[in-house]
Amino acid sequence: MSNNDTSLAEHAPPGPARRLLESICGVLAAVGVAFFLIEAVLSVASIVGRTFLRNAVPGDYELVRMFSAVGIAMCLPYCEIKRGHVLVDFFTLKAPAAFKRFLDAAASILMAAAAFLLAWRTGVGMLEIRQYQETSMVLGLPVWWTYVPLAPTFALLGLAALSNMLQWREPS
Amino acid sequence: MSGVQIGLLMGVFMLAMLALRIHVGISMFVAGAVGYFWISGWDALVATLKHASYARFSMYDLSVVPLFLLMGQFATYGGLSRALFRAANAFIGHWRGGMAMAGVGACAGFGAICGSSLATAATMTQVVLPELRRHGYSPGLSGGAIAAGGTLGILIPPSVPLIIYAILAEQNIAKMFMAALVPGVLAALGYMVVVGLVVRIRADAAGPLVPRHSWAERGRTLLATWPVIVIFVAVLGGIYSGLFTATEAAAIGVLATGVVAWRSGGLKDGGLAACIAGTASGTGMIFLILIGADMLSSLMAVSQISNVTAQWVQGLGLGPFGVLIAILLIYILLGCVMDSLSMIVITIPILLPVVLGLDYWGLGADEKSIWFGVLAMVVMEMGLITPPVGMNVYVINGVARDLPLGTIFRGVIPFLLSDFIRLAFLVGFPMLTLALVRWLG
Repeated sequence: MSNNDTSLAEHAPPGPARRLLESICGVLAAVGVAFFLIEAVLSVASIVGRTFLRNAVPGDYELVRMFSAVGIAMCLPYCEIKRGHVLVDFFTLKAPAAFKRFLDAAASILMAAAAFLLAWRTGVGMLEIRQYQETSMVLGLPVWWTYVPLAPTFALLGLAALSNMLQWREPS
Repeated sequence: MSGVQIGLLMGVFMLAMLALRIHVGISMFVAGAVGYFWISGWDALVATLKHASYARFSMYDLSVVPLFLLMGQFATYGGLSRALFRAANAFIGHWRGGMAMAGVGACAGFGAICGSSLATAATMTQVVLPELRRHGYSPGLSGGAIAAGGTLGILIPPSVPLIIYAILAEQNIAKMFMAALVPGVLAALGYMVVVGLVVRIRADAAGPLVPRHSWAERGRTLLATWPVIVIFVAVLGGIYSGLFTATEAAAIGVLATGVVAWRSGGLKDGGLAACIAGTASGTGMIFLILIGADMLSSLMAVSQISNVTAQWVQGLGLGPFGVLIAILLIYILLGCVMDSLSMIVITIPILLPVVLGLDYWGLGADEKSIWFGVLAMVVMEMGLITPPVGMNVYVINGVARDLPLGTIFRGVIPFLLSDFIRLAFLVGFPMLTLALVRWLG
């Protein structure tokens, strides 16, 4: 059985830094979901357009791809700050709580390391795409701006993981 | 050390991390990255990482996933589960055991728009269980029917695990949905038959018969389920006929369920915030796993480990069906410790090549992939209700605290038997899965 094991967490009350991080992640997630909604409206408009007016929204597929890339990136830190990422807890069900805290702190460090690595690399990737001036197929929109949210959101994911680690460490 | 040895070592490393509570996506990512670095070097590793995640996030086929999650949230907060149960109950509630059958039917309908088995089980427990109890159904039958009905979310299209499987196995999503339709309907019918048999064998399992509902009532309750009908028509008609894509069908679903959630007042009092939170969490969870899966499959590609495993399994002399049964058993066991999505992304890159290397009923590679995918979904859903750790059962127990785990697990057994019978048919008669694909493809 795997789940997000929030029941184990006995958090210290969140400090101001943690609260700020939580609200940033929450706002980002809301913006991300707003992108999904825009995507849905756009797709339906395109269906209606090509069924009744024989005219789809131009470049609808590439717009959906761009919106969803941006929206998905914005959801990553929120999931971590809410401890929504799945883990397998079957083999540690009977383990002492202190040991689980230790393991979860280690997991958070690994998560942060991976996230910062990805933040660095996607940042470099963004600069590359901007340099090549890659544009989308139909509308000719520059692609690099949809890369922009990646590096900051991965960095935020790393910060959220570190913040979680600090929380796990303090028993209430 | 050879690539294969490094690959194997990283596989063990990944399993160790999984057992030690490292997040599923990160376990795959770290094992994949370390192995890739070992074989191909630092420069190659950092070069792949530049664009891999963007390529995943901006994949058109995957844009359907957040939309399905949002649709499921809207459906949950819009009270569609209740509407579905009322409609199903209006049609078959007067049969012996009919209300429990209606619960299964409502689970199937809700599973279609929600696509998450656990969410289906949780919602349906709140809606159906109180009604079943009020009408004198036994706790075992009630809990068993909802637990089993909840598993239909994975199999009945549209479903997120089916989409992820289709993408990993490089199969067409529409074909995958077509293939899962008949097995999904068979599953729902099978569970209804089980309810019918249980109430015939044990008369006290169901309460007294209720009068037949009028056609006016049937029409009225059916009308209240319009978003589900719209989504089903959009998916079945639209995707299957090639009129629009899965993403577009999901977009229709998001707006339809969104309107219902808004009109019913489900978005008030924090409902909207909960929908956003659920969608964002689910999206983040799935895509982090996919980032890890991409890293792991890069390692598999450079280490050649899938080919070697496939050859090794062929050399065992178990025969195609021996191997298949072994794989399905592994899935049932894994289903006890892992959710279906993690299971798919971890196992498919290794096990699918094994299956593709063997001969099953003379099927071609694509048909074999589709057929195996449906079989995998069926056994993964069985894992959700198999003792001792069926997650659906825990979810129901979490919502209805006074319904003991043991009672639900006993109630689930007849439904599990129907699962095994259905699985045997699906293995023995691949056309049950593939006929629709061939007919429409």
